Amino acid sequence: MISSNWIQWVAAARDGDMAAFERLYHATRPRLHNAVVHLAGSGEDAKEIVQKAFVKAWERLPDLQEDAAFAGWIRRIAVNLVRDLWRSRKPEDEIVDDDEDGALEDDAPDPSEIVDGAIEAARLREAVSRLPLAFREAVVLHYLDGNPVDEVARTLEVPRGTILSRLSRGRSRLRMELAPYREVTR
Amino acid sequence: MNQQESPLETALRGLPREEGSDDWMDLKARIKRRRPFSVRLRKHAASLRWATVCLGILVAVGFWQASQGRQSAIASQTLELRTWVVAHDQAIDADPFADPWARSIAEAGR
Repeated sequence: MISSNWIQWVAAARDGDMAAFERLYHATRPRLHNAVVHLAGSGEDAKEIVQKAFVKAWERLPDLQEDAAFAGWIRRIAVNLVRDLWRSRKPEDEIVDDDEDGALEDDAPDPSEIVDGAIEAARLREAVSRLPLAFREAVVLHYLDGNPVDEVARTLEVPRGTILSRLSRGRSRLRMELAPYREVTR
Repeated sequence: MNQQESPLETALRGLPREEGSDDWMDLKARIKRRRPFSVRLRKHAASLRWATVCLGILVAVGFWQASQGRQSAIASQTLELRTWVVAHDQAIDADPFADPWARSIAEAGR
């Protein structure tokens, strides 16, 4: 949710008001960290990326067109930093074909219906961290960060249909990842 | 589109949040270390404006002086030409055949 205070803080921070930027940091950092930690895979990486994202945001604030869009804008900066990290560590990451046939089919059995809740969270988080980055970005930003599909599309700068496809295929991957576990827990 | 959420989607939405911890002092130190030129420039915006205005005035004065010099050069060239034309006209009046052009025309007409 956008607080009207944010808009004032963004405007003040753009004029060099460090105190306003500090308030903005405290207000927006926790949610950003939650998204980044699931994208980056580790708490340490997430902390580093979030700090870097805020440094970049401070430097580029004069370029921000709409003050109310600060949260989405810094999320985009953070996603790009995660991509840089991902590329430096896994240069040959799996290429994702968004137009693959059957991308929107989603009728596989759902193992989360039968697994124990407490274990499910840890398994699920691990399964999310193993998704190819394109699917993980869509799944994390939509389900874990709670953004609407259109907002995710804007953040990742791809069409809405591509996000829907990635979400569908991400869910299928998660089901495949969780399927062996389903057998164990039966 | 399926309106009802699957249990997987519900489980994804229900994952516990990981918010990490604030470290404003670290961020502040990073910003101070990397303060960009544009931000530093903002602090000196007033003096920069004055410097730009002074530079603009200097450039304008330079252009004005250069244009004055050019105008006087043209004027002196014009005066020289006019003097030459007057002297030529007077010479023709005194002796029509003094002008080689007039002489050749007169000879052709004979």
